Amino acid sequence: MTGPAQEIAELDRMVHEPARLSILMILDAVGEADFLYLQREGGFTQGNLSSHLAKLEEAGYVKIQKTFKGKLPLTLCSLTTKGERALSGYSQRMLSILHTKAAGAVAQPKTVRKRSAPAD
Amino acid sequence: MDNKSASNAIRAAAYWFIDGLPEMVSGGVMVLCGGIGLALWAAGLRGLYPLLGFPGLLLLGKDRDVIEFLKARLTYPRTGYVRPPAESGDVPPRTIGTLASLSAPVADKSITHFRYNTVVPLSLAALWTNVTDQTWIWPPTVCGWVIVLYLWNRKLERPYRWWEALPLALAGCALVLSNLPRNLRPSAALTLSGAWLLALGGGKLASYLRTHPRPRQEGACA
Repeated sequence: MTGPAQEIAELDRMVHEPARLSILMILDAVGEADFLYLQREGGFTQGNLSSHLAKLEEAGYVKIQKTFKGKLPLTLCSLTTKGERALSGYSQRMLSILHTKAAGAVAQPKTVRKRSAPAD
Repeated sequence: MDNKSASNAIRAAAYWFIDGLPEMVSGGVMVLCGGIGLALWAAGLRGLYPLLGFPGLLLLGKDRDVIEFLKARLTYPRTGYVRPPAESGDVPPRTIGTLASLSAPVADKSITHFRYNTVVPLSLAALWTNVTDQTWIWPPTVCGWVIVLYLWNRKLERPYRWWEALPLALAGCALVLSNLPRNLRPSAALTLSGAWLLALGGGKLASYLRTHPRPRQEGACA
């Protein structure tokens, strides 16, 4: 396996899953947010979000802190340095794959025109 | 801002305004400053007029603490919590700029422009009403000012709807065309602008509390 196929195979699967990618991108943009905010913004069910957050916490990408807001309990989620690095690495790799794909798409129409010329 | 295509950062910054408390606190401070000015004028202490700005500056420096305090007691945990946005001009470094650069340029960190795009222009406009007695100049100036305010904020975290901006333009025109003494106009304009923000925030808070009933407990987590 070489080129883009290998690059795709090497993507961090912990980040590549759409729900987890969405959680990481939200946390990267906002700094820290609680469970309700993530649930609302990502359109997750409670169980779905809990399970993805548990996986991200286990991987060391997300830090979950229990604190208080006034007298009410607050569960805050934020990205760890490892999580930031993983997301940044993932975005760079993905961008490089997309650039390769875009370059291929630009080159392709010329080839098609050349092949169809003799038929005219 | 309900626009789902806005970046996560703009949506997070807009979330700060979801319950109307930032507008209410800023509006309250402006009403207080304007009220002090009116009281000084009524008491004949016009020499102390320049002191008008000090309570405003003092309170606006602490507005975030006041808003956080009120949010914790009035609206949390209805729709969750997200870190308050940074002030514009204090932009943190980018970490995911590469993907963001694929689409139209958008702010990639949660930032609010509210203080610089609303509170400061309204305060400056209020002070400016003292400049001239030429009445013909005021209707286009006040309307122009409100249109700029509306357009300036249209794509940011706290956009105004045209019918929200309209009362400010009409009340502003009525105020500057009235027979108020020139020295009294800045305080009255400040009070009026603050009352406008208070009304916007109050309406939003009432609607927010009505549509988001208090949950029995905070959402369980992983």
